[in-house]
Amino acid sequence: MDKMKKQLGNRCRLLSVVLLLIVALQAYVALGPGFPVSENVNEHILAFQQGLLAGASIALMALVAYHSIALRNEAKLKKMYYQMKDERMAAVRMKSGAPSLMICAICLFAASFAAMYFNTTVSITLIASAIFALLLGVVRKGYYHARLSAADSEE
Amino acid sequence: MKTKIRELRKARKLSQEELALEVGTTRQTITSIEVGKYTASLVLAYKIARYFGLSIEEVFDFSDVEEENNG
Repeated sequence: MDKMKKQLGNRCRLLSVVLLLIVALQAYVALGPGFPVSENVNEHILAFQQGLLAGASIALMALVAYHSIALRNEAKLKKMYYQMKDERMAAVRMKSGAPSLMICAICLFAASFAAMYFNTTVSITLIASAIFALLLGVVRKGYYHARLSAADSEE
Repeated sequence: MKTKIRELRKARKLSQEELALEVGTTRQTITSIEVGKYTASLVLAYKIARYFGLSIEEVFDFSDVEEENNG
C-alpha cells in the first residue's frame, strides 16, 4: 500500500509541476511582456495557442484532482494502482507504440508553439502532424485493445 | 488458452472484480483470460493458481500447447 501511495504521489507531483509550468507560460504570454512576434504571424494562431494551453491546464487540473482523491481513499487507490500496473494494458501499450506516438505528438505541439511566433503555415502544419500522430496512436491502441480484450461477459 | 477460472470462481461465489482485486489486476483482464482472448503472464497465472490453492496446470489448460509440441 505504501508503494502504491508513493508511486501515485510521484505521478501527482509530476502532473502538478507540468500544470504550474503551463499556467506560468500562459500568464507570461497573456499578462506579461510575452514573446516577440514576427510581423507576418496571424493573430488568430496566437489565440489558438492560448486556447490549447487553457484546455491542457483544465485537463491536467482534472487529472491532479482525480489522483488526489484516489490517494485519500484506499479502495480507489488500490483500483487505480492495479489499472496502472495491469499487464494486459501494458501489452496493449507496448504493441500499439502509443507512448512513443504520444511523445512525438507532444514534441510536435511544442515545436508548433515556438513556430507560432515566426510562421503561421509552419505552425499549422506542425499542429496537423501532431493531431495525426495522436489519432494514429488512438487507432492503434483501439485495435490492440480489441484484439486482447473480451466483450464484457456475464459474471 | 482455455482455463477453469470461471468454474473455480463461481464455485467460490466470487465476482470477476473480487478475483481481480485479490490477484492484483483489473476485471477486464480477468474477463479476457476467462474467454481465452488474453494469455496471462507466468506471474499472474501463478497468483491466480495460488489464490485457488491449485497448481498452474490445474487452472490453465495446456492441451493446445501439448498438441502443438507433438504435431
